[in-house]
Amino acid sequence: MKRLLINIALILSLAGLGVFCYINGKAYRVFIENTASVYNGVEKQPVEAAHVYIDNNSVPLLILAEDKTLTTVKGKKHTIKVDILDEKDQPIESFKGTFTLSGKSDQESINILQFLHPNQ
Amino acid sequence: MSNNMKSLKHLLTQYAVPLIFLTICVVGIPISKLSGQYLIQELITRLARNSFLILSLLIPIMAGMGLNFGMVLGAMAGQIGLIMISDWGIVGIDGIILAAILATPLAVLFGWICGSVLNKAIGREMVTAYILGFFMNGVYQLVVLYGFGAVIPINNTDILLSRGYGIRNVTDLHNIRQSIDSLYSLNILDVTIPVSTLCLIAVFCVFILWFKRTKLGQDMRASGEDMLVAHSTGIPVMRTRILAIIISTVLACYGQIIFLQNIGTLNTYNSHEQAGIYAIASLLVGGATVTKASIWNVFVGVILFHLMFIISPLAGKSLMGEAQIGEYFRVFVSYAIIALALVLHAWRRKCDLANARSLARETAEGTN
Repeated sequence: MKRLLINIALILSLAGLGVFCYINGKAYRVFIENTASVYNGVEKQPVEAAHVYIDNNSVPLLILAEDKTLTTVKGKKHTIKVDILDEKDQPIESFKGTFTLSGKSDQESINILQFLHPNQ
Repeated sequence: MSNNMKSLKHLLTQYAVPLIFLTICVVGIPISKLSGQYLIQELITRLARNSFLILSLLIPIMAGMGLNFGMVLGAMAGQIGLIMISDWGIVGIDGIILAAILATPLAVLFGWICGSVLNKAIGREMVTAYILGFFMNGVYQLVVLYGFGAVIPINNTDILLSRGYGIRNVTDLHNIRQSIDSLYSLNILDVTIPVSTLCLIAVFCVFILWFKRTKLGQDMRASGEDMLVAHSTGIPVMRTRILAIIISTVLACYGQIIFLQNIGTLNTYNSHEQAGIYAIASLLVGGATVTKASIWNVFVGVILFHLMFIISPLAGKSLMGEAQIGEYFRVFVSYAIIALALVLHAWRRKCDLANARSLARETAEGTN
């Protein structure tokens, strides 16, 4: 009986680990956008250029105004860092935030403007 | 013949295969004109890539079942796990763990089938497992070529054949490529050392050493030495043999996943075929025999066999002006070394029987 219980516990824990790996390791394709949008009733205009770092990735994504780029991310919860660039591509302002993907679609969109001056 | 000559002859016959390979490598390295740094980098990469697969062969040898040609069944299970995670789009270490979890029950089932069949073919385990590998290869191809997409749902069109069912010849594993290797790696003098993979191999070595001391490990050793004696002492020999094959198959499955995550590409219909032959050849090159193998044989074998793999195309090019000659050389050497090891095993067995006979005669004459 004890042996059976141990075996069942082992199988269940392996199944649990499998489910965790599935949820945590699933890759999603995300469009990172820099287009004019309305947030909390405030219309935000796109920034001229920005470097976007997702999950502390060392290689940033460069996004220009009214532009979007496709990237692949692992899991649903992510951190994002947006560096707004000047005309010499030097960062002048930096914003951080988090976002969670719904997971309902293979391709979702995230607009970087929602992370700029979130209190405005 | 003097005792010294006898012991030298014994040493030469015992280590004939590693000595031949050592000679080939010593002659081939200067001809290939490869730099020391390149050779070391390649050797470390191949050591990390192949050792786990080869280590999985040790347990059946301990149980007296010879070289487990049935390890290709484990490799097939691992590949099915990798195809599934490629379809689901699971990336990184999570993908590798999930592939291993999915493949484990399949590998246990394949190992149980293989072990049960081998119990019906006692004394001819190697050839039986070899042919069983061919049979299961057919089943694998049927499932992967017709079942995937038709019976088993596959949504990722990148891995699916254009007709709508069956997996493509090559499956790109970019989602998990070198996930274990890059988990923690060191760069010393421009040589990258995949510490995390080597740690995993070290853990496996410790597991084997621990396993040998367990009750099951002792039972396997006893069954391997003499099945009749083991049976008369109450050891469930048949069950022990099946367990040895199951453990080996499951470990071969994990070994294939480690191997393929390093390569980054799955040759859907061929990768598992190569796994068995090259792993067995490596172990034999390391000085192992059909009846005796140790962890050291694995590492010596990987170094010597893969050193020959690295240098042979360039040595072939330098000697014959054709790199392809070196490629042919390494393929036929792989098969030749298995044949040589089996011939040496048969010859040694014959010598042992002759020695035992003459010893029995001497004893009988002494008593008369």
